[in-house]
Amino acid sequence: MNLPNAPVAHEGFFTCHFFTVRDQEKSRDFYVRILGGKLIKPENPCYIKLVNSWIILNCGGGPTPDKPEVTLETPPDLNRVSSFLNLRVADIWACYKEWGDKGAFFITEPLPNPDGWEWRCYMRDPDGYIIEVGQYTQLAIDWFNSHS
Amino acid sequence: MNAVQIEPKSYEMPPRDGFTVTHFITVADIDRSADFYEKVFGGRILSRGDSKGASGHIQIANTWLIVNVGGGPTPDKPSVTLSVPVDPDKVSSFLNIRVADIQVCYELWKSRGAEFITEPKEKYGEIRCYIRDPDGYIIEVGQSTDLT
Repeated sequence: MNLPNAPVAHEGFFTCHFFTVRDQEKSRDFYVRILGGKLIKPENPCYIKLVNSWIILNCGGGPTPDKPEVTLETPPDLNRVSSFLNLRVADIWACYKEWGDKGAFFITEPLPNPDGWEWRCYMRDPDGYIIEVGQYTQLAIDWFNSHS
Repeated sequence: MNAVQIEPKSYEMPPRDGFTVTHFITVADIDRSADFYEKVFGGRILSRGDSKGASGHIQIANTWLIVNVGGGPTPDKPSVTLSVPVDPDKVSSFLNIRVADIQVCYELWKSRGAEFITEPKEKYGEIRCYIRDPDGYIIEVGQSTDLT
């Protein structure tokens, strides 16, 4: 699979992650400068290529004819979450340090998850979205290897 | 090891270096969601989670969907509770699928049981429609007409 700069598929499809944001410039800074994404289109919507995927940012609003009952808004309650961006990392302490040094806010430092599968910590992006940063343990890696 | 080949390198789950971008959704039933994303989008189920709390993993095109039931708070996010969408019509972030041929995807995915809010509609330089997944999450299906 070739991943072009823009998420425009010539066959099949690409999956991306959309965020409703208050300030596209602030969010761009977070996803480009801190996480190292590549800016593809600056606004309305903003496209940022991030490793194997794309982050798509736009302001809230709606409803629109293609979703007549749905309103897009930034998170109304930061402590009640349904879906989130989940970054699976090779070295969680290195990411925690690098992104923290660049100004990312982490809720806690990396902690072992009781399920034995991973170490985890969470960032808040400029709109308060949680972003999981997780590193699989050897137990999980062995499991993936034996089931692939 | 599960990998997506994106030249010049392949992105792996678990990643051997750097990080891999995935999308997490809180679901009511891991098996139901895994079956839905496998059947509709041709996803590949890597794991269905376990009774100790491990998440389900489904590879979809260039990324991975990680699914688990709600709960929390946990020590690494002591104020955050995960739940399925409280109000499916108030949305902040969502999975955004950029397709090569929206009419083909619309017909194919509908025939596989996907529930579309409307048929594809033209808006803002793209043609778009939305799917509701089993938990009510919206999934944007879009074909760009002005980005190359």
